Amino acid sequence: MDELEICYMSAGDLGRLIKAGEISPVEIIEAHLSRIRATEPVLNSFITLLPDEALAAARQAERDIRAGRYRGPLHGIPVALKDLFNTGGVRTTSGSRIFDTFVPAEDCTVAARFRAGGAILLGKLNMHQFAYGPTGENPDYGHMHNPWNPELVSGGSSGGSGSATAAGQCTITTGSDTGGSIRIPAALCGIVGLKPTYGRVSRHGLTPLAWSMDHPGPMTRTVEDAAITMNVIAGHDPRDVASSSLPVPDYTAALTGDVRGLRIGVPRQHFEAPLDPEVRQAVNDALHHLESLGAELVEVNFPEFNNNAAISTTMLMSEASAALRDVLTSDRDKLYEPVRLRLEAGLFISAADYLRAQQGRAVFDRAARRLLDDVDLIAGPTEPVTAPPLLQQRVLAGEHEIGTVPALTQYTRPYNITGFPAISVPCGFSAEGLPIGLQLAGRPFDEETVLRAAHAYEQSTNWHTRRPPL
Amino acid sequence: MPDDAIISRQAFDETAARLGITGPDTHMDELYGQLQGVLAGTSALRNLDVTDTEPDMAFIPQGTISGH
Repeated sequence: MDELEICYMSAGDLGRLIKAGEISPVEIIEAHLSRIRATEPVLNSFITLLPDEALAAARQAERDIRAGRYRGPLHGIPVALKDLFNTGGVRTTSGSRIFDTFVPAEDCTVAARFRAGGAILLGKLNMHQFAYGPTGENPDYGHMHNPWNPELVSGGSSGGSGSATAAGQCTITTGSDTGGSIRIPAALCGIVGLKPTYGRVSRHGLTPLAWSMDHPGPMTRTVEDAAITMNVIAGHDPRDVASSSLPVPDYTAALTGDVRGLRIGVPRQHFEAPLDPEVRQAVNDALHHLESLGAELVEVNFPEFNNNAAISTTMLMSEASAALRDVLTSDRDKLYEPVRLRLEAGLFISAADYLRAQQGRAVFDRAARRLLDDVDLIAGPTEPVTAPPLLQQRVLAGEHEIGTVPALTQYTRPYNITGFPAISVPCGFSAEGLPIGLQLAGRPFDEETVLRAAHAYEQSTNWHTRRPPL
Repeated sequence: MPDDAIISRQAFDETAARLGITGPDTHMDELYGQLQGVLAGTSALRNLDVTDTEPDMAFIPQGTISGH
Protein backbone atom coordinates (compact mmCIF):
# COMPACT_ATOMS: atom_id res chain seq x y z
CA MET A 1 0.00 0.00 0.00
CA ASP A 2 1.22 3.51 -0.83
CA GLU A 3 2.84 5.16 2.20
CA LEU A 4 0.93 8.42 1.86
CA GLU A 5 -2.37 6.53 1.72
CA ILE A 6 -1.43 4.78 4.97
CA CYS A 7 -0.67 8.12 6.59
CA TYR A 8 -4.07 9.54 5.65
CA MET A 9 -6.08 6.48 6.64
CA SER A 10 -8.20 6.80 9.74
CA ALA A 11 -7.49 4.85 12.90
CA GLY A 12 -10.79 3.06 12.34
CA ASP A 13 -9.75 1.83 8.91
CA LEU A 14 -6.17 1.02 9.93
CA GLY A 15 -7.43 -0.85 12.97
CA ARG A 16 -9.75 -2.99 10.88
CA LEU A 17 -6.89 -3.84 8.50
CA ILE A 18 -4.53 -4.63 11.39
CA LYS A 19 -7.09 -6.89 13.00
CA ALA A 20 -7.61 -8.70 9.70
CA GLY A 21 -3.86 -9.11 9.25
CA GLU A 22 -3.91 -7.08 6.04
CA ILE A 23 -1.41 -4.49 7.23
CA SER A 24 1.39 -4.58 9.75
CA PRO A 25 1.95 -2.06 12.54
CA VAL A 26 5.59 -1.94 11.37
CA GLU A 27 4.48 -0.88 7.88
CA ILE A 28 2.26 1.81 9.45
CA ILE A 29 4.99 3.21 11.69
CA GLU A 30 7.55 3.19 8.87
CA ALA A 31 5.13 5.11 6.62
CA HIS A 32 4.56 7.73 9.30
CA LEU A 33 8.26 8.14 10.06
CA SER A 34 8.85 8.68 6.36
CA ARG A 35 6.05 11.27 6.25
CA ILE A 36 7.49 13.04 9.28
CA ARG A 37 10.95 13.17 7.72
CA ALA A 38 9.46 14.73 4.59
CA THR A 39 7.26 17.34 6.26
CA GLU A 40 8.79 18.15 9.64
CA PRO A 41 11.29 20.70 8.30
CA VAL A 42 8.27 22.77 7.23
CA LEU A 43 5.82 22.08 10.06
CA ASN A 44 7.91 21.66 13.23
CA SER A 45 5.15 19.61 14.86
CA PHE A 46 7.35 17.54 17.15
CA ILE A 47 9.56 18.38 20.12
CA THR A 48 10.66 14.78 20.63
CA LEU A 49 10.46 12.01 18.03
CA LEU A 50 10.79 8.37 19.07
CA PRO A 51 11.58 6.45 15.86
CA ASP A 52 13.51 3.56 17.39
CA GLU A 53 11.10 3.10 20.28
CA ALA A 54 8.09 3.29 17.96
CA LEU A 55 9.51 0.71 15.57
CA ALA A 56 10.35 -1.62 18.44
CA ALA A 57 6.83 -1.23 19.80
CA ALA A 58 5.40 -1.90 16.34
CA ARG A 59 7.38 -5.12 16.02
CA GLN A 60 6.12 -6.19 19.44
CA ALA A 61 2.55 -5.31 18.45
CA GLU A 62 2.94 -7.37 15.30
CA ARG A 63 4.13 -10.37 17.31
CA ASP A 64 1.35 -9.96 19.88
CA ILE A 65 -1.41 -9.70 17.30
CA ARG A 66 -0.12 -12.72 15.38
CA ALA A 67 -0.07 -14.63 18.66
CA GLY A 68 -3.71 -13.76 19.32
CA ARG A 69 -3.04 -11.08 21.93
CA TYR A 70 -5.05 -8.36 20.17
CA ARG A 71 -5.74 -5.46 22.52
CA GLY A 72 -8.39 -3.54 20.62
CA PRO A 73 -8.94 -0.87 17.97
CA LEU A 74 -5.83 1.16 18.85
CA HIS A 75 -3.41 -1.79 18.84
CA GLY A 76 -0.63 -0.82 16.45
CA ILE A 77 -2.00 2.68 15.78
CA PRO A 78 0.44 5.63 15.93
CA VAL A 79 -0.34 8.29 18.50
CA ALA A 80 1.55 11.39 19.60
CA LEU A 81 0.94 13.43 22.73
CA LYS A 82 1.12 17.14 23.36
CA ASP A 83 4.30 17.69 25.32
CA LEU A 84 2.58 18.43 28.60
CA PHE A 85 1.29 14.87 28.93
CA ASN A 86 3.82 13.11 31.17
CA THR A 87 5.39 10.04 29.58
CA GLY A 88 7.44 7.68 31.70
CA GLY A 89 11.05 7.64 30.52
CA VAL A 90 10.39 10.18 27.77
CA ARG A 91 11.12 13.85 28.37
CA THR A 92 8.16 16.15 28.80
CA THR A 93 9.00 19.82 28.31
CA SER A 94 5.65 21.64 28.53
CA GLY A 95 7.01 23.54 25.56
CA SER A 96 9.79 25.21 27.55
CA ARG A 97 13.56 24.77 27.67
CA ILE A 98 13.20 25.16 31.43
CA PHE A 99 12.03 21.53 31.37
CA ASP A 100 14.19 20.43 28.46
CA THR A 101 15.67 17.55 30.44
CA PHE A 102 12.66 16.66 32.60
CA VAL A 103 11.94 12.94 32.27
CA PRO A 104 8.85 11.81 34.22
CA ALA A 105 9.07 8.58 36.13
CA GLU A 106 5.63 7.44 35.05
CA ASP A 107 2.98 7.95 32.40
CA CYS A 108 0.06 10.29 32.86
CA THR A 109 -3.25 8.45 32.91
CA VAL A 110 -4.00 9.19 29.26
CA ALA A 111 -0.60 7.88 28.13
CA ALA A 112 -1.00 4.80 30.30
CA ARG A 113 -4.39 4.07 28.76
CA PHE A 114 -3.04 4.46 25.24
CA ARG A 115 -0.20 2.11 26.14
CA ALA A 116 -2.59 -0.44 27.63
CA GLY A 117 -4.67 -0.22 24.45
CA GLY A 118 -1.64 -1.09 22.35
CA ALA A 119 -1.22 2.31 20.72
CA ILE A 120 2.32 3.19 19.62
CA LEU A 121 3.85 6.47 20.81
CA LEU A 122 5.52 8.24 17.89
CA GLY A 123 6.66 11.25 19.86
CA LYS A 124 5.83 14.38 21.82
CA LEU A 125 4.24 17.32 20.11
CA ASN A 126 5.15 20.97 19.97
CA MET A 127 2.90 23.42 21.76
CA HIS A 128 2.53 27.04 22.77
CA GLN A 129 4.84 27.48 25.74
CA PHE A 130 3.09 26.15 28.89
CA ALA A 131 -0.11 25.99 26.78
CA TYR A 132 -0.53 29.69 27.45
CA GLY A 133 -1.58 31.04 24.06
CA PRO A 134 -3.86 30.17 21.11
CA THR A 135 -1.45 30.57 18.20
CA GLY A 136 1.25 27.90 18.44
CA GLU A 137 4.19 30.18 19.12
CA ASN A 138 7.27 28.73 20.72
CA PRO A 139 10.68 30.38 20.63
CA ASP A 140 12.36 27.49 22.45
CA TYR A 141 11.46 24.70 20.03
CA GLY A 142 10.41 26.82 17.06
CA HIS A 143 6.98 28.05 16.06
CA MET A 144 4.45 25.60 14.66
CA HIS A 145 3.28 26.03 11.05
CA ASN A 146 -0.05 25.41 9.39
CA PRO A 147 0.02 22.59 6.79
CA TRP A 148 -2.38 24.51 4.56
CA ASN A 149 0.00 27.48 4.42
CA PRO A 150 3.17 27.37 6.51
CA GLU A 151 3.22 31.17 6.86
CA LEU A 152 0.08 30.92 8.97
CA VAL A 153 -0.42 29.76 12.55
CA SER A 154 -1.41 26.20 13.27
CA GLY A 155 -3.42 27.49 16.21
CA GLY A 156 -2.73 26.71 19.83
CA SER A 157 -1.95 25.84 22.26
CA SER A 158 -1.97 22.27 20.85
CA GLY A 159 -0.48 23.50 17.58
CA GLY A 160 1.81 20.54 16.94
CA SER A 161 -1.14 18.22 17.43
CA GLY A 162 -3.13 20.15 14.84
CA SER A 163 -0.40 20.25 12.22
CA ALA A 164 0.75 16.65 12.75
CA THR A 165 -2.77 15.26 12.42
CA ALA A 166 -3.72 17.38 9.43
CA ALA A 167 -0.49 16.58 7.56
CA GLY A 168 -0.69 12.82 8.07
CA GLN A 169 2.31 12.73 10.40
CA CYS A 170 0.29 10.85 12.98
CA THR A 171 -3.11 9.14 13.11
CA ILE A 172 -4.23 10.22 16.59
CA THR A 173 -2.93 13.07 18.71
CA THR A 174 -3.97 14.64 21.97
CA GLY A 175 -4.43 18.18 23.10
CA SER A 176 -5.41 19.99 26.25
CA ASP A 177 -8.03 22.71 26.15
CA THR A 178 -8.22 25.52 28.72
CA GLY A 179 -9.67 28.26 26.52
CA GLY A 180 -9.95 26.41 23.21
CA SER A 181 -6.55 24.77 22.78
CA ILE A 182 -7.94 21.58 21.21
CA ARG A 183 -10.67 23.18 19.12
CA ILE A 184 -8.67 26.19 17.85
CA PRO A 185 -5.91 24.20 16.08
CA ALA A 186 -8.52 21.66 14.97
CA ALA A 187 -10.50 24.38 13.20
CA LEU A 188 -7.48 26.17 11.76
CA CYS A 189 -5.84 22.94 10.52
CA GLY A 190 -9.03 21.29 9.23
CA ILE A 191 -9.33 18.34 11.60
CA VAL A 192 -11.63 17.10 14.37
CA GLY A 193 -10.97 18.20 17.95
CA LEU A 194 -13.10 17.09 20.89
CA LYS A 195 -13.00 18.80 24.26
CA PRO A 196 -14.76 16.28 26.46
CA THR A 197 -16.79 17.21 29.53
CA TYR A 198 -14.66 18.37 32.45
CA GLY A 199 -14.03 15.25 34.53
CA ARG A 200 -14.51 12.80 31.66
CA VAL A 201 -10.81 12.37 30.77
CA SER A 202 -8.23 12.37 33.55
CA ARG A 203 -5.91 15.34 33.96
CA HIS A 204 -3.53 13.32 36.13
CA GLY A 205 0.04 13.76 34.95
CA LEU A 206 -0.61 16.81 32.78
CA THR A 207 1.13 20.12 33.47
CA PRO A 208 -1.70 22.36 34.68
CA LEU A 209 -2.48 25.76 33.24
CA ALA A 210 -5.82 26.45 34.98
CA TRP A 211 -7.04 23.61 37.16
CA SER A 212 -10.73 24.36 36.84
CA MET A 213 -10.68 24.72 33.06
CA ASP A 214 -8.09 22.20 31.77
CA HIS A 215 -9.57 19.45 29.59
CA PRO A 216 -7.53 16.74 27.81
CA GLY A 217 -9.01 15.29 24.64
CA PRO A 218 -8.46 13.74 21.20
CA MET A 219 -7.48 15.41 17.93
CA THR A 220 -8.10 13.26 14.86
CA ARG A 221 -9.02 13.43 11.18
CA THR A 222 -12.41 11.77 11.60
CA VAL A 223 -15.17 11.80 14.18
CA GLU A 224 -15.08 8.01 14.38
CA ASP A 225 -11.43 8.25 15.44
CA ALA A 226 -12.33 10.71 18.17
CA ALA A 227 -14.96 8.23 19.41
CA ILE A 228 -12.52 5.31 19.25
CA THR A 229 -9.98 7.33 21.21
CA MET A 230 -12.52 8.34 23.83
CA ASN A 231 -13.37 4.67 24.34
CA VAL A 232 -9.75 4.18 25.43
CA ILE A 233 -8.89 7.34 27.37
CA ALA A 234 -12.17 8.30 29.07
CA GLY A 235 -13.17 7.10 32.49
CA HIS A 236 -12.77 7.47 36.21
CA ASP A 237 -9.31 8.06 37.64
CA PRO A 238 -8.95 8.28 41.43
CA ARG A 239 -5.74 10.28 40.94
CA ASP A 240 -7.67 13.21 39.45
CA VAL A 241 -9.84 14.89 42.10
CA ALA A 242 -12.26 16.14 39.46
CA SER A 243 -12.61 12.81 37.68
CA SER A 244 -16.18 11.65 37.12
CA SER A 245 -17.31 8.21 38.20
CA LEU A 246 -20.07 8.06 35.59
CA PRO A 247 -19.86 4.93 33.42
CA VAL A 248 -18.23 5.36 30.02
CA PRO A 249 -20.45 4.41 27.09
CA ASP A 250 -19.24 2.94 23.80
CA TYR A 251 -18.92 6.21 21.91
CA THR A 252 -18.72 4.49 18.54
CA ALA A 253 -22.23 3.12 19.10
CA ALA A 254 -23.51 6.70 18.98
CA LEU A 255 -22.34 7.17 15.39
CA THR A 256 -25.63 6.24 13.78
CA GLY A 257 -25.63 8.88 11.07
CA ASP A 258 -29.10 9.91 12.19
CA VAL A 259 -29.78 13.44 13.43
CA ARG A 260 -33.51 13.44 12.78
CA GLY A 261 -35.33 15.18 15.60
CA LEU A 262 -32.22 16.71 17.13
CA ARG A 263 -32.83 20.31 18.20
CA ILE A 264 -29.81 22.49 17.50
CA GLY A 265 -29.71 25.88 19.17
CA VAL A 266 -27.99 28.70 17.31
CA PRO A 267 -27.28 31.67 19.58
CA ARG A 268 -27.87 34.90 17.73
CA GLN A 269 -24.97 36.40 19.70
CA HIS A 270 -22.60 34.15 17.77
CA PHE A 271 -23.43 36.03 14.60
CA GLU A 272 -23.42 39.47 16.20
CA ALA A 273 -19.80 39.02 17.33
CA PRO A 274 -16.92 39.90 14.98
CA LEU A 275 -17.05 37.26 12.23
CA ASP A 276 -15.42 36.85 8.84
CA PRO A 277 -18.06 36.69 6.06
CA GLU A 278 -16.62 33.52 4.52
CA VAL A 279 -16.72 31.78 7.89
CA ARG A 280 -20.26 33.03 8.47
CA GLN A 281 -21.35 31.61 5.12
CA ALA A 282 -19.65 28.24 5.65
CA VAL A 283 -21.15 27.82 9.12
CA ASN A 284 -24.61 28.86 7.95
CA ASP A 285 -24.35 26.36 5.11
CA ALA A 286 -23.30 23.66 7.57
CA LEU A 287 -26.22 24.38 9.87
CA HIS A 288 -28.67 24.21 6.98
CA HIS A 289 -27.03 20.98 5.87
CA LEU A 290 -27.75 19.52 9.31
CA GLU A 291 -31.30 20.77 8.92
CA SER A 292 -31.55 18.96 5.58
CA LEU A 293 -30.50 15.78 7.39
CA GLY A 294 -33.47 16.11 9.73
CA ALA A 295 -32.23 18.27 12.60
CA GLU A 296 -34.27 21.25 13.73
CA LEU A 297 -32.51 24.63 13.92
CA VAL A 298 -33.68 26.86 16.74
CA GLU A 299 -32.47 30.44 17.12
CA VAL A 300 -31.77 31.02 20.78
CA ASN A 301 -30.89 34.00 22.92
CA PHE A 302 -27.71 33.66 24.94
CA PRO A 303 -26.88 37.17 26.21
CA GLU A 304 -24.49 35.78 28.81
CA PHE A 305 -22.23 34.81 25.88
CA ASN A 306 -21.04 38.42 25.87
CA ASN A 307 -19.64 38.00 29.41
CA ASN A 308 -17.52 34.97 28.61
CA ALA A 309 -14.27 36.86 27.96
CA ALA A 310 -14.25 38.69 31.30
CA ILE A 311 -15.16 35.55 33.27
CA SER A 312 -12.78 33.14 31.61
CA THR A 313 -9.87 35.55 31.30
CA THR A 314 -10.01 36.45 34.99
CA MET A 315 -10.17 32.80 36.02
CA LEU A 316 -7.52 31.66 33.56
CA MET A 317 -5.03 34.39 34.39
CA SER A 318 -5.45 33.94 38.15
CA GLU A 319 -5.15 30.16 38.06
CA ALA A 320 -2.26 30.15 35.56
CA SER A 321 -0.26 32.61 37.65
CA ALA A 322 -0.83 30.44 40.70
CA ALA A 323 -0.08 27.16 38.88
CA LEU A 324 3.13 28.46 37.29
CA ARG A 325 4.27 30.84 40.01
CA ASP A 326 7.32 28.76 40.91
CA VAL A 327 8.47 28.85 37.28
CA LEU A 328 7.84 32.57 37.16
CA THR A 329 9.87 33.07 40.32
CA SER A 330 12.81 30.87 39.42
CA ASP A 331 13.08 31.22 35.63
CA ARG A 332 11.39 34.48 34.72
CA ASP A 333 14.02 35.37 32.13
CA LYS A 334 13.69 32.02 30.34
CA LEU A 335 10.00 32.48 29.61
CA TYR A 336 8.64 33.58 26.23
CA GLU A 337 7.96 37.28 26.72
CA PRO A 338 4.19 37.17 25.95
CA VAL A 339 3.80 34.21 28.34
CA ARG A 340 5.81 35.97 31.02
CA LEU A 341 3.69 39.11 30.66
CA ARG A 342 0.45 37.13 31.05
CA LEU A 343 1.77 35.30 34.10
CA GLU A 344 2.92 38.53 35.71
CA ALA A 345 -0.32 40.36 34.92
CA GLY A 346 -2.31 37.55 36.55
CA LEU A 347 -0.61 38.26 39.86
CA PHE A 348 -2.31 41.66 39.96
CA ILE A 349 -5.82 40.15 39.96
CA SER A 350 -7.29 40.31 43.44
CA ALA A 351 -8.86 37.37 45.24
CA ALA A 352 -12.11 39.34 45.32
CA ASP A 353 -12.12 39.65 41.53
CA TYR A 354 -11.26 35.98 41.07
CA LEU A 355 -14.21 35.03 43.26
CA ARG A 356 -16.38 37.49 41.39
CA ALA A 357 -15.44 35.64 38.21
CA GLN A 358 -16.42 32.37 39.87
CA GLN A 359 -19.78 33.88 40.75
CA GLY A 360 -20.08 34.98 37.13
CA ARG A 361 -19.20 31.44 36.10
CA ALA A 362 -22.09 30.05 38.15
CA VAL A 363 -24.50 32.51 36.50
CA PHE A 364 -23.09 31.68 33.04
CA ASP A 365 -23.35 27.96 33.71
CA ARG A 366 -26.99 28.21 34.79
CA ALA A 367 -27.87 30.16 31.64
CA ALA A 368 -26.12 27.64 29.40
CA ARG A 369 -27.89 24.74 31.14
CA ARG A 370 -31.24 26.48 30.64
CA LEU A 371 -30.50 26.70 26.92
CA LEU A 372 -29.79 22.98 26.84
CA ASP A 373 -33.09 22.25 28.56
CA ASP A 374 -34.70 23.29 25.30
CA VAL A 375 -32.19 22.16 22.68
CA ASP A 376 -29.87 19.18 22.38
CA LEU A 377 -26.84 21.06 21.05
CA ILE A 378 -25.52 24.59 20.73
CA ALA A 379 -23.89 25.30 17.37
CA GLY A 380 -21.83 28.02 15.76
CA PRO A 381 -18.40 28.81 14.37
CA THR A 382 -15.36 27.43 16.16
CA GLU A 383 -13.33 30.41 15.01
CA PRO A 384 -14.38 33.83 13.69
CA VAL A 385 -11.52 33.82 11.15
CA THR A 386 -9.31 31.41 9.23
CA ALA A 387 -5.70 30.94 10.30
CA PRO A 388 -3.90 34.29 10.62
CA PRO A 389 -0.21 34.88 9.81
CA LEU A 390 2.33 33.89 12.44
CA LEU A 391 3.05 36.57 15.05
CA GLN A 392 0.34 38.89 13.72
CA GLN A 393 -1.15 40.70 16.71
CA ARG A 394 -4.50 41.67 15.22
CA VAL A 395 -6.97 40.12 12.78
CA LEU A 396 -9.81 41.41 10.65
CA ALA A 397 -13.08 39.65 11.46
CA GLY A 398 -15.69 41.09 9.15
CA GLU A 399 -15.67 44.84 9.77
CA HIS A 400 -13.89 44.52 13.12
CA GLU A 401 -10.15 44.59 13.68
CA ILE A 402 -9.53 42.83 16.98
CA GLY A 403 -6.68 41.24 18.89
CA THR A 404 -5.65 37.81 17.63
CA VAL A 405 -5.84 36.19 21.08
CA PRO A 406 -9.37 37.35 21.98
CA ALA A 407 -10.54 36.60 18.43
CA LEU A 408 -9.30 33.00 18.43
CA THR A 409 -10.89 32.25 21.80
CA GLN A 410 -14.20 34.10 21.52
CA TYR A 411 -16.32 31.06 20.64
CA THR A 412 -14.35 28.40 22.49
CA ARG A 413 -14.05 29.91 25.99
CA PRO A 414 -17.72 29.46 26.95
CA TYR A 415 -17.36 25.70 27.18
CA ASN A 416 -14.27 25.94 29.35
CA ILE A 417 -16.38 28.00 31.73
CA THR A 418 -19.20 25.44 31.75
CA GLY A 419 -17.15 22.29 31.21
CA PHE A 420 -19.64 21.08 28.57
CA PRO A 421 -18.39 18.83 25.76
CA ALA A 422 -17.65 20.64 22.49
CA ILE A 423 -16.28 19.49 19.16
CA SER A 424 -14.87 21.24 16.12
CA VAL A 425 -15.51 19.49 12.82
CA PRO A 426 -14.39 20.72 9.36
CA CYS A 427 -17.23 22.52 7.56
CA GLY A 428 -15.65 24.25 4.59
CA PHE A 429 -12.77 26.20 3.14
CA SER A 430 -12.16 29.86 2.39
CA ALA A 431 -11.45 31.11 -1.10
CA GLU A 432 -7.76 30.94 -0.16
CA GLY A 433 -8.15 27.26 0.64
CA LEU A 434 -8.04 27.56 4.43
CA PRO A 435 -10.13 25.30 6.66
CA ILE A 436 -13.19 26.44 8.61
CA GLY A 437 -14.62 24.66 11.67
CA LEU A 438 -18.15 24.12 12.98
CA GLN A 439 -18.46 23.91 16.77
CA LEU A 440 -21.13 21.74 18.39
CA ALA A 441 -21.53 21.75 22.18
CA GLY A 442 -23.75 19.50 24.25
CA ARG A 443 -24.97 18.72 27.73
CA PRO A 444 -22.49 17.60 30.39
CA PHE A 445 -21.40 14.00 29.75
CA ASP A 446 -23.42 13.81 26.56
CA GLU A 447 -20.46 13.41 24.23
CA GLU A 448 -22.56 10.84 22.40
CA THR A 449 -24.95 13.42 20.96
CA VAL A 450 -22.07 15.76 20.10
CA LEU A 451 -20.26 12.96 18.29
CA ARG A 452 -23.44 11.71 16.60
CA ALA A 453 -24.24 15.08 15.05
CA ALA A 454 -20.63 15.77 14.06
CA HIS A 455 -20.32 12.33 12.48
CA ALA A 456 -23.58 12.65 10.55
CA TYR A 457 -22.42 16.01 9.21
CA GLU A 458 -18.93 14.76 8.37
CA GLN A 459 -20.12 11.63 6.60
CA SER A 460 -22.55 13.54 4.40
CA THR A 461 -19.92 16.07 3.32
CA ASN A 462 -16.40 15.68 1.96
CA TRP A 463 -14.47 18.41 3.78
CA HIS A 464 -12.60 15.86 5.88
CA THR A 465 -11.22 14.15 2.78
CA ARG A 466 -9.21 17.17 1.59
CA ARG A 467 -5.48 17.12 2.19
CA PRO A 468 -3.10 20.03 2.69
CA PRO A 469 -0.72 20.76 -0.21
CA LEU A 470 2.51 19.34 1.17
CA MET B 1 -14.61 52.36 32.14
CA PRO B 2 -14.62 53.54 35.76
CA ASP B 3 -11.59 55.48 36.88
CA ASP B 4 -10.94 53.09 39.78
CA ALA B 5 -10.54 50.17 37.33
CA ILE B 6 -7.28 51.57 36.03
CA ILE B 7 -4.24 51.20 38.19
CA SER B 8 -2.00 54.26 38.37
CA ARG B 9 1.62 53.90 37.36
CA GLN B 10 2.72 54.61 40.89
CA ALA B 11 0.40 51.95 42.32
CA PHE B 12 1.53 49.54 39.59
CA ASP B 13 5.20 50.10 40.40
CA GLU B 14 4.59 49.63 44.13
CA THR B 15 2.54 46.48 43.63
CA ALA B 16 5.02 45.04 41.14
CA ALA B 17 7.81 45.56 43.65
CA ARG B 18 5.81 43.80 46.37
CA LEU B 19 5.14 40.89 43.96
CA GLY B 20 8.82 40.65 43.09
CA ILE B 21 8.23 41.61 39.47
CA THR B 22 11.22 43.35 38.01
CA GLY B 23 12.60 43.93 34.53
CA PRO B 24 13.87 46.50 32.08
CA ASP B 25 11.78 49.64 31.64
CA THR B 26 10.49 48.38 28.28
CA HIS B 27 9.19 45.21 29.92
CA MET B 28 7.57 47.08 32.78
CA ASP B 29 5.97 49.53 30.34
CA GLU B 30 4.56 46.63 28.33
CA LEU B 31 3.24 44.93 31.45
CA TYR B 32 1.66 48.15 32.65
CA GLY B 33 -0.08 48.56 29.29
CA GLN B 34 -1.37 44.99 29.23
CA LEU B 35 -2.59 45.24 32.77
CA GLN B 36 -4.98 48.03 31.84
CA GLY B 37 -6.86 45.61 29.57
CA VAL B 38 -6.85 42.86 32.18
CA LEU B 39 -8.21 45.14 34.86
CA ALA B 40 -10.83 46.50 32.48
CA GLY B 41 -12.08 42.92 32.18
CA THR B 42 -12.22 42.39 35.92
CA SER B 43 -13.99 45.72 36.22
CA ALA B 44 -16.66 44.50 33.78
CA LEU B 45 -17.27 41.56 36.10
CA ARG B 46 -18.35 43.94 38.83
CA ASN B 47 -21.32 44.93 36.68
CA LEU B 48 -22.66 41.36 36.53
CA ASP B 49 -25.73 40.57 38.57
CA VAL B 50 -24.55 37.81 40.87
CA THR B 51 -27.23 38.23 43.51
CA ASP B 52 -27.58 35.13 45.69
CA THR B 53 -24.88 33.36 43.70
CA GLU B 54 -22.04 31.67 45.51
CA PRO B 55 -18.75 31.30 43.67
CA ASP B 56 -17.88 27.93 42.21
CA MET B 57 -14.86 27.34 44.42
CA ALA B 58 -13.71 24.50 42.22
CA PHE B 59 -15.74 23.53 39.22
CA ILE B 60 -17.25 20.08 39.50
CA PRO B 61 -19.95 18.85 37.13
CA GLN B 62 -23.07 18.58 39.24
CA GLY B 63 -23.52 15.34 41.11
CA THR B 64 -21.12 13.36 39.03
CA ILE B 65 -17.94 13.20 41.02
CA SER B 66 -16.93 10.27 43.12
CA GLY B 67 -17.00 11.11 46.77
CA HIS B 68 -19.56 13.91 46.31
